[in-house]
Parts: sequence; C-alpha cells; structure tokens
Amino acid sequence: MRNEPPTLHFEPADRCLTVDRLSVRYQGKAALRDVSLTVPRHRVTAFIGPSGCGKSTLLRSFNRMNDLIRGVEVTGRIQLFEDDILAPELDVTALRRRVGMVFQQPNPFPMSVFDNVAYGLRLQGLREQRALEGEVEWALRSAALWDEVKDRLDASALTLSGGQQQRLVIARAIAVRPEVLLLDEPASALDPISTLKIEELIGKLAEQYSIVVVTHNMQQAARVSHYTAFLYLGELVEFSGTDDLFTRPQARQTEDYITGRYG
Amino acid sequence: MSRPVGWRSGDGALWLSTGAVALTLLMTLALLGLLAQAGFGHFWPKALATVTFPERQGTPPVLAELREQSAFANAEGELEPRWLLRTGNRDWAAPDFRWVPVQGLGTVHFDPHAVELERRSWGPALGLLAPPGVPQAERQGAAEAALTALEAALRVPPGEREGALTLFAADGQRQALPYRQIVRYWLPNAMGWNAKLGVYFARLGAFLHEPPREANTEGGIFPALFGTVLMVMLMTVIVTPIGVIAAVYLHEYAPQGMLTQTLRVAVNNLAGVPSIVYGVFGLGFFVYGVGHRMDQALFADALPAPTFGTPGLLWASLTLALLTLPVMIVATEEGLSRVPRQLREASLALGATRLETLRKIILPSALPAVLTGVILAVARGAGEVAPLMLVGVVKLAPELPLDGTFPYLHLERQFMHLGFHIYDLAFQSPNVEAARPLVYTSALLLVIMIVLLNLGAVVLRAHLRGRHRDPLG
Amino acid sequence: MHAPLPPNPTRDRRRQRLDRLAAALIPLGGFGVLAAISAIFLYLLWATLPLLQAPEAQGTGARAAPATPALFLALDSRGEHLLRLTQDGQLTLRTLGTGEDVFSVATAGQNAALRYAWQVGETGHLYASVAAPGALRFFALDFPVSMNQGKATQGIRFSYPFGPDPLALPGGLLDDRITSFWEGSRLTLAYIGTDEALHLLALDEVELGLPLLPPRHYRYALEASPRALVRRGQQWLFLDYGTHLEAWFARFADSVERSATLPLPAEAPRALLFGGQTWLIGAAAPELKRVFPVRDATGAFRFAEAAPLPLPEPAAQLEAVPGQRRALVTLASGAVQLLQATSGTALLTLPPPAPTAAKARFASNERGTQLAQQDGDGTLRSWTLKAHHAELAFSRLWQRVWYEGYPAPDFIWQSSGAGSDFEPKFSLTPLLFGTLKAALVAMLFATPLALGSAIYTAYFMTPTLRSWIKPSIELIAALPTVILGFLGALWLAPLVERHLFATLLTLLSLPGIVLVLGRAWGLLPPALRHRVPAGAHALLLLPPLALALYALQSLAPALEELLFGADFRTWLDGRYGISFEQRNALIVGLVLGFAITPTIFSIAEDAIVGVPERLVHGALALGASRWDALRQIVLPAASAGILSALMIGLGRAVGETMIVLMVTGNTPYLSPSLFEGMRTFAANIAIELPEAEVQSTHYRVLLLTALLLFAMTFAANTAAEWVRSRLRRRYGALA
Repeated sequence: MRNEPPTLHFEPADRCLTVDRLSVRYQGKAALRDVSLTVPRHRVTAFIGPSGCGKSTLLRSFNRMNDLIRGVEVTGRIQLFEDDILAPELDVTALRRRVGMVFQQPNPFPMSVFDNVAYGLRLQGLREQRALEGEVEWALRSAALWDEVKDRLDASALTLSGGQQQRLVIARAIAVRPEVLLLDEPASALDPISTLKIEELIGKLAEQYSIVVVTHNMQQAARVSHYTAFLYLGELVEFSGTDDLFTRPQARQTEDYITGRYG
Repeated sequence: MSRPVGWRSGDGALWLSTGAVALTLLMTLALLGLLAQAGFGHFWPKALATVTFPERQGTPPVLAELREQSAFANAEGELEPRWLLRTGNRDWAAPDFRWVPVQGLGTVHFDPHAVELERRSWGPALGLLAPPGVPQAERQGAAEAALTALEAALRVPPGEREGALTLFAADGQRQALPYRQIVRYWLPNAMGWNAKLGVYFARLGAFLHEPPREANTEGGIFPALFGTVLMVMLMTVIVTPIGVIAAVYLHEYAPQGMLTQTLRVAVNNLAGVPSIVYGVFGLGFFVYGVGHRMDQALFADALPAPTFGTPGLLWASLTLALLTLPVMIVATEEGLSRVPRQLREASLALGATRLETLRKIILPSALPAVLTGVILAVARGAGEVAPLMLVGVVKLAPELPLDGTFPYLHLERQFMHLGFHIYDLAFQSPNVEAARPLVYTSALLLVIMIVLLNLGAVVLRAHLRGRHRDPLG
Repeated sequence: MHAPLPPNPTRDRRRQRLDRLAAALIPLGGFGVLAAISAIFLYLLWATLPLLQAPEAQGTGARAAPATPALFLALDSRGEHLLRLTQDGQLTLRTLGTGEDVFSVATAGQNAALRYAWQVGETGHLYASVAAPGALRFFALDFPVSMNQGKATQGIRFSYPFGPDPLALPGGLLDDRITSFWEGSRLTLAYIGTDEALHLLALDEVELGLPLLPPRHYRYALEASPRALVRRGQQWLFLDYGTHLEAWFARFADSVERSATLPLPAEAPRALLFGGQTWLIGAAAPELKRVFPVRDATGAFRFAEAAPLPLPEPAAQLEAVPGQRRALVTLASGAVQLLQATSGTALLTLPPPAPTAAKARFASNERGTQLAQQDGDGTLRSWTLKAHHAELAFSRLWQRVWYEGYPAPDFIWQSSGAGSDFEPKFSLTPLLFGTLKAALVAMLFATPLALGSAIYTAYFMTPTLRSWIKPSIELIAALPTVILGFLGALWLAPLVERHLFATLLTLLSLPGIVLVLGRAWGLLPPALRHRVPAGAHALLLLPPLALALYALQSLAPALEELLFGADFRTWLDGRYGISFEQRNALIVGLVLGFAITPTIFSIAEDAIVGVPERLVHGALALGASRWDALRQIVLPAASAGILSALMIGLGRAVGETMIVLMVTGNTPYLSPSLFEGMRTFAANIAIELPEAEVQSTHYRVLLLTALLLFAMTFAANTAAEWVRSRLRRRYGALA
C-alpha cells in the first residue's frame, strides 16, 4: 500500500490544467499511472524526475502530441479550464493553438525568421501583411529576440545561433496566443548563457501564460518554477511549492532524487 | 599511415585492388574518350587525298578521305595493313567505302580544288572543281568560275535552281551534279581553321534540327531528339505526382508495420526487375489490353485499324513511368525520411493539421529529393531502349507526335527515340560505314545528356545532405 | 498589447475536412500505385496461365442431314460453313450455326460417280474431285466480304478455276492415285499415269479466275505402281505401296527424287500429318508410331522413328486434319479420338457410333477450332474446340523433344519458320542456358573489378578522393546500355576478333602487370612515396597501366607468331576445332561485366564503409596491419553486404537486354564455348515479341519467359535485401 501522494489545491479560477487519474500506456506498457494534479494559471510549474519517469509523457498529454504515437492508450481526464482535452471529438488543432509547445532541440522551420513566427498565424487565416508584421514583432519582442533579429527578418532561421533559435521557437509558439506554454527541456541543448536567457524569458512570460516546464535539471526547476512535481516510474510522487519540495521533501524518493542518489 | 618498404603479405592484394580501381577508371575514360573523339570529329572537314595505285595496272587514281588503318588477315593468313578509303559518290562510283592494302598505295597528294558536297540523296559527293592534269593557272580559273556559279546557284531556293555543277574525278572523268541536289559544300584542302569551324558548326546545327534522310544515314536527328524529349516529359508528368503520393503514403500515412516494410522492399526490388519485363507488361496490358478496349469503346469507326491498340507515345510514356516509379518513390522517401521529426512536431504543436504540415513543412523540405528522383527518372527514361522497342518506338516516324492539327498532341502516334535510333543505325542500317559516324555522334549526344542529368542529381543530393546536416545534426 | 486572434470555427472545420480527405485519399492513391506495380507480376501470371489450360470441347448440336452419304466433308477456315460433297457430285453448303443449307450445286457431269475428293492445300478455298474415268476437276469456294453502307456482308462464291470440264492430265490418270500441293501461287500435282509411271505437273501463277500458264510436266518411271500418293508439304512426296512407304525429296521446287524407304506392317492404318513430314502409323500395340525422313551426317536420307504416342487401345483407322498437327484416330472399339500429334494429348474423345454400312466422315477447320462429323446414318454433329495451346505440353519447354526432320531429340528454340506449316519449337533450355552463360561470364569479369574497386575506395581512400571516385564509377551505371552495346558490337568485337590473342593475353596478365607496377612503386624513394595521399595510388597507376597495356598490344603479334606460328584463331580452330564468332560470350562478358561493375561496386562499397571504424581501430591497436584488419574484421563484417551486391549484379546481368541483343549473335544454341554467342531470355523477347501474334502460343511462351525473368531477378533482389537487412540488424548495434 502506498500513501496518496501529497498534492496542492487551488481555487477553481486558478486551475488551468486539471489532471484526474491519468494513465498512459504505450503498446501495453504503462508510462503513467493514475496521475492527478492541477497546473495553476499564470504560474510556472516544473516536472522533474529521472529519465523515463513519465514527465514528458505527461507534458505531451496536455496538447495530445501522444496521439502521434501508435498504440498509445490514455485513460483518465484532463481539463483545460472547463474543456475536456481527451474528448475524442475534440479538434486537436484548436487545442494545440491554446496549448503551445517548445521542444528540447531548437526546431525552426527551414524558412525565414519572419515566416517562422508567422506560420501559426497564417494557419489561422491571418493573411494581411500589416497585421502579420505587427503580430510577429509583438511575438519576437515578447521572446526577447526582436532586437537581435529585427534587421534580418528575411534571413533563414537556420542562420541564428542555438539560443536564438530556441527563443525564436518560443516566439513562434506564443505568436498564436496560447493559454498554456509547454516547455520540454527547453534549455538542455543550449550553452549556459543561452540557458540563462531562456530562464529569464520563462520568468517574464509567466506573467501572461501558464507555463509547464519539463526539466531534469533541478537547479533550473528551482530557479524558474513556482511549483514542482516529482514523478518517478510513471507515478506522481510529490507535488508542492518549489521551495517546499526542495527544502522539505515529503516523500523518501523525492529526497533521494534531489539529493542526487539517483538520476 | 605509412607503408614500409618491402613486400608484405597484404601488399599484393592491395595493389590488385588499386589496379581494379585504376582499370575501371581507365575503361570509363577510354569509353568516353572514344565516344568524344569519334562523335565530335564527324563534322570536321577532312582532307581529301588523291590516291594512286602504281602496282595495280589499270586502277585509276581516286579522290578519297583516308579514314582509318587496320590490319586484316589476307589469303595466306598473314596480317596485312589496309586503309579504309571514303570515296563517296555512291550513285556513280559505288561502293562509297573501300579497303585497300597500304602496300599498293602510291603517291598521295592533296588537291586544293577538291570539294566535298552534301547532297539531298545518295550521300556525299567528292570531286575536283577543276580538271586534273592541266596547267595550274588554267585550273585556278576553272575552279573559281565553278565556285562563283555554285555560290550563285545556292542563293536560289533548291526547287528553282537550274543547271548542274561539273565535278571531275581524280582520273579526269566528268560528272554533272544538279544544283538542286546540293545542300552544302566545302573545300577541305584549301580551308583555314576558321572556315573549317564554320562548316563544323553549320553541320552540327543541321544535325540537331533537321530530319534524317537516306534511311537515317544522312541528315539530322531532330525527330529522334524531339521524340525522346517529349516522351520523357510525358513520363515525368505521370511519374512525379504518383511517385510522390506513393512515397508520402509509405512514409507519412501507412502504419509502419510488417506490411509497409514488405511493400517498401517490393518497391525497391522492382527497380531491379529488367526493363524488358516492363516492356512486355506495357505491350500486353496497355497496348493489347487497355488500348484495345479503348479502341472498341471510343474509336470503333476506325476498326479494325487500331488507334490506341497499337504501340504509341502514350503507352511508351506510361510504361517508362512505371519503370521509373521505383526510382521516384525511393528517392522521395529518402527525402521524406531526412525531414527531421522535430519539424513535424513543431508544426503540429502549432495547431497545423497533418495535411498542412505535409504541404508547408515536409514537402518543401523534401523538394530537392523529389527533384533528384525526377532527374534520375528522366536520365533512366531517356536512356532506356529495350521496353520502348515493344511499346512505341519506330525507326522512322512520318509525323512528329506534336503538330499543328487538332488535338496537337497525338498520344497514339509512334515516335522516334534517340536510343533506338542508335540501335537502328548501328544494326539495321543499309550502309553501315556511312551510318557509323552518325551513330557515334548520336551516342555522344545521348551520353552528354545523361551525364549532365546525373551530375545534376549528384550535385542536388550533395546540396540536400549539406543543408540538413547543419541545423539539426 | 494586441488582442489574440478570434477563433474561426468555419475555417477550422474546413481545414479539418481537407485533412480528413487527404488522410483518406493519400493511402488510397499510394496503395493504388503500389498495387498497380504488383500488377505486373499478376498480369504476366494471368497471361501465361492459358498455356496450362486443358483442352476443352463443347458439342454444338446434332441434326439429321440428307440420307445421301457424304464422300467428303470440309469446314471453311472460320468453321462456320460445312461443305458436303456426295458421291453424285452434289455440293451442299450448310451454315453450322443455323443448320440451314445455304448453297447447293452439281459439280460433276450427268451420272458421274465420284471416287475421291480432297482439299487442295491447307487453307481451304480450293478442292478437287476425281470421277470414275479418271476425270479430275477443281472447284473453289470462298466467302468474300463486301462492304455496303458500312455493313459487312459475307457472300458465297463458287467457281471452277480451271474450267468446268475435267482437266486433261498428260499421261492420263490411273484410278484416283493423285495428290496435290498448293503453296503461294504454285500448284503441283503428282499422280500415277495410265502408263503406271509417276507424273509431276507444275502449274505456276495459279490464282483463282486467271488463265493458266503452260504447265511443266515431268515423268518418272517406276518399277511398281503405288497404291496412293500423298504430299502435304514443299519437301516431300510420299508413295504408298501398301507394304512400304517411299519418300521422294523435292530438291528443287517441282522435281523429285527417290530418297528413303520405310517398310510398313501389313494393313497398318497411317496418315501424313500437316507439315507433310511426319507419318502416324498404327501398330498392333496400343500406340502410334511417329516416323519422318531425316538427313543423316553423310547427307543421305532415312526414316527416323520418334517416341511413339500411347493410345488407350490399338488404332483401327487414321485420318489427318488440315492446318493442324492433329489426327482423328478410330480406335479398335470404334471410339474416335482427336489427337494432338506433337504432344500426344487427346483433345476430344467420341463414343463409338452406331454400326452402319457407311463410314463416318469428319471435317475440321484449319484453325482447329471446329470439328464436324457425319455418321453413316446421316446425322451431323459438330463441336467447338478450345485447344489453342494444345501443341505445347508444359514439360516440353524444358525437355529434349524429337521434332520432325531432326535426327535426334534436342533442345531447340525456333519459334517461326518460312512456311505456314512450320512446326514451332519452344524449348526454353537454350535460352535459359544463354541467359545464365551471359550473366556468369559477365560476373566473372565484373566481380574482381567491382570488389577490388570497392575495397580500395572504401578502405584506402581519403574521404575527399572517395567523394570524387565513387560518383565517377557510378556514372557508368547511368550510361544507356544501348551505347555500351553498340560500342561492344561495332568497336570492341571487331577489335577483339582481329587481336584475339592480344586480348586474352591482356586479360590474363593484367593482375601480373599491376603487381609488377606495385612492386616498382615500392622501390621508389620513401620521401617521394609518402607525399602521395592515401588512396591516390589508383590515380597514379593510371598512366603506367595505360602504358603497359599499350606495350602489351605492340608485343602481342610477335609473341603470337612465336607461340602459334601465325594466327591464334587459326591455331585454335586447327588444334582444338574451336570456332570463333565475332560476337561471342567473351565480348558479352567484357561489355556486360563493365555495365554491372558499378552496381556491384556501389553496394559493396557501402557495405564496407558501413563497417564501424572503431572495429578497425580496435584491431590496429592490437598490432594488426591494415591488411589484416581488412581481412579479419572488415570483410567478414561486410560479407553479407558484398554477397547482396553480387546478387543484385547478377540480377542485372540476367535481365540486361540491349547489350546482349547487340553484342551476341542471338543464336539460341547450347554452346559452352567462350567464342560463340548465345541468346538470352531478354534479347529473345526484344527480338520476337513485336512479331508474335497476340494470344498465340508463341506470344504466351514469350510472356512466360518474361515472368521467369521477373521471378529470377525479383528473387535475387529479395534475397539480397534479406541478407542486407540481417547485416544491418547484426551490425546496427555496433554503429
């Protein structure tokens, strides 16, 4: 028998994503088991845990990216505010507009900086050049990239540095004004200076977006997040305020992990 | 790493493998060199020699190009060197090519008044503009007068020309050559480099844009060139979309299981199925099957004369499209698999549908690979002959498949093809020696075309690899 | 701060619909394309299956006919009209479909009693009859089609081409001992005159309705008078004496000479088959003998007896049919079999008719699709036959078959001949042999070249050099094979013919030359040698190699003179009886080998490059030389890939068309000699398929060879792919 994992409670208005008894199985193998938690609105929530603990799977459940994998089985319930994300009839493209995602590897499209940011907007039917320019500038400014690229919006995105590329990808994600931003180890492929910039950006973006960060870097989680969930072997072990989790871990596994016994 | 002096166990094998590479390269170079030398040289004006035969009584001197020397076994089984003389004048002094023993040859001199004439029929005419054996000044005058008259005559359209050029053989015999027969003339022994170059390019140009004459042994190859290009274009129009759709299906939409893997292997292996098998399929299925049904349904009036139930352009293009489909699918799929997964995910995560991701991200990224596939398919299609022999190629097509009469593009017509033209010229020609230079020239043209296409594919592929190596590792 | 874009549900729904449409259509299209490709195999299979079909006969009715027994029955070529000639000379034409008599005419004079009537030639139209006092008449019957306002109507045209009166034969005609042969426009009659000599009458330019040119007449005295004369082909006239058969050979168009004799068992039933060479002869045993004249090595003729055809019971009567190598066999029990005499298949078996005084008569059209029978009691029956490929038994494709005119059973491919009565010979063995011979000789040449190049390029060259050399070699694969073929046939073949010794000398001494050059390299000062980058040796080797080859060519004639007296080819022929064709297996080996070298090279090179470098480094660190590492680590690891390269190369060599078409003499002989040509499946298809009649046996056999080619190459490629995927799995973990 195990204890109910310690978790947090938020006011209904502050509940951005509500996960209820979520289980995910890949071809019969459990990747997540009975996870329940709430991601608060306009805060940064970090998922930590060793490789294969299910943190990325949980993240990818929020925008249904797991659908792309064959043989995936999802049970349980996830709500984005009032809406059931896992409903089969849901338009996933609309969901993914509300839930933006940034990946581990910077993945700009092989097109110009401008076209990268405008990609999602054009998909939504925004065609007018003026409006596009405004939106792109806003997104690039929000991603703290505008000053660096404003003179070469027509250059290929592939000419940017790794850190710039990652901020470009963030700009691309926020250009469509998502409600939630999912960051899957956003800085793991970057050098320390770029990482710092991304972390600053996350802090800034949290004023307007609900952000979920997956990271295996505990210092990063401690630096950028308000709340932290620790997952282990597909289960949610502990979820609490970041300071609490790192200073007063409730569960034995959490303590082992943050003190570096495994990972 | 350095190899020490001396002979160690592996050195022999190593040198043998070195030799293999060297030999392969040597053979390739020799082949290209042979083609280039024989193909480029044909239109160059060659000196015409007046050859005498002092040892053979009663054999008159002849005017000829000394074509090549080769050794033959004579009646006693000994090798004897002989010259191949090109004497032309097939109509009044046949044969136009003859082998003569080198020993029997007497004096050889190059008469400045020797002329070679390209004619509408009977192949080239060789002769002297002035009678031999008369004083030089008199000859000069006669030759100039003949040239002036010839120039004047050539300015008139062929149909309206009157009169004839008097040509002298090396032994003084006269032959009248009607002006209307003459296409072009040159004085190879009295020309400078510039003039020769002029004749060279004029003849090369005519070769490229004129139809063949004299059972394909004279004139140009325009219809064959045109037929090849048209057929390949049609083939490309057919194979590109279906090849891309099949590749997209295999790579993007098909469940990646045993079945898809089997299909992929099957497609791959179809590239190794002999082209003649595709030809058999094309003839049996397209021509006699589909074509015959089409005739019954649409062209019943013309029956029993077949319209589509006979080899033709459409069936040739379809057959070659099928033949090149594996090339196209494999190349496209390779391109698709080089598109990083992260790009797909990024696009989907931004709310794009699968179709939008395909159209805006994946296909543009895979475009160079698709183009590589197209180029490889075109190169294969342009050089393929065996299946075409079954499904639509003819040695001489009276009409081009594209002309000014409705419906302009005549898909049911048979057409000429450069590769088949080479086969036909080399093997079915009534006059093999006369056709040989044209075979080499046509072959060179085809090789240049195909080498350029393949180089294009190589460059494109290198570019493609380079582009995707940088950003995402 | 901008406001977010408003959601646009209409647009979203449209996007979703489009996406779903694509998700439905692309698999459909993609799967369709892939299915279409697989259709090639299915189509070929489907098109060759009829070869296996058992013959099928369907009765099309039995109707009462006039009681007068028919002397002669015939069907027109399409099998629509039945011609009946009764003893009183009345000719009646009946449409089989409706059973109505559509035409009737009296062909002989008053009170004439016909003794004998027959069809002249194999193609219908012309018939002849002999009435009692040796009166010979010809009549013609054909069905001209006339177009009237776009509708075709078939008429009936009856005529006496040589006039209605009996034809006067020089020397007279004894009884009904006459036979005819008609081909093209020449009609040859052979008959026994009233002087009991053999007469030959040749009529030229015989076209229906044209006056005759003066005939040519020949007379041959005979010791005895034969009972019957039979001639159905250009070559042979047979005289049947009852006790023996005499074969007279037509050396020239219309003169004959006695050539061979065959004793006959007493009263044995016998018939001369279509083609005019093979006799079927009944025996006491339940079988039919097959005999035909053959020419032996001395040029003399004799009768040869091929394997007999088994029957369920002994034959009582035999009757040959026009246009097909078939015979109607009346068995001892009275049952009748229609027998395909080439394969021995019974196409149709009829139960014994009711015993009546008059003999049953049969007719078959020349295409062999219709059969009609009139019983002694006057009942007419007819059958439709579906036996298009009955002449071909499947096993005959691979076995030795004893064809008529041949001294012994043999593997022969000869699909068409001069006359319409030619017996097609479909043995696939010589073609398979030729295919494998060409491919193996090519492999013999290509394997060392391609593998050597692959090892060197992959293992010893710097990447930069490799990136240049590899595409250069691969470029050969892109060269149209028609160009390689034409260079091989018109440039290389005459060259090798003239310098055969030099060529062989070069091929054999090449490895030696390379080794000597390599040794010479080792003697150069090390400082010089070390300046050459890894793998550039091959390029350095080019000029000396070319020079050495040139020197060898110059030396060869002197050496040839020294070793063989004069000409190597003359010597070969004189010493070993090896003949030399200009376009032979050696040339095919060189050209085809050259063509498949890049294919093998490319795949083998990939396999060698794919062996992880760490393995090599590991071996080198243990003190192995580069060569040891290659031999002990790299080559075993790449062996599966190399094997698959060889298989794919073999597949290409098997299926290559243009090169073999142009470079071999395309002679379908089973000759293992390197200096003789061959015919391969692919070249055979290219040569014969355009000429083959659609859906004929020949056409389907050619399609069968295409199917075989498909299966052979597909199997080779699949095996190669399988081997390669195993390799990938084994070394995938290492890479």
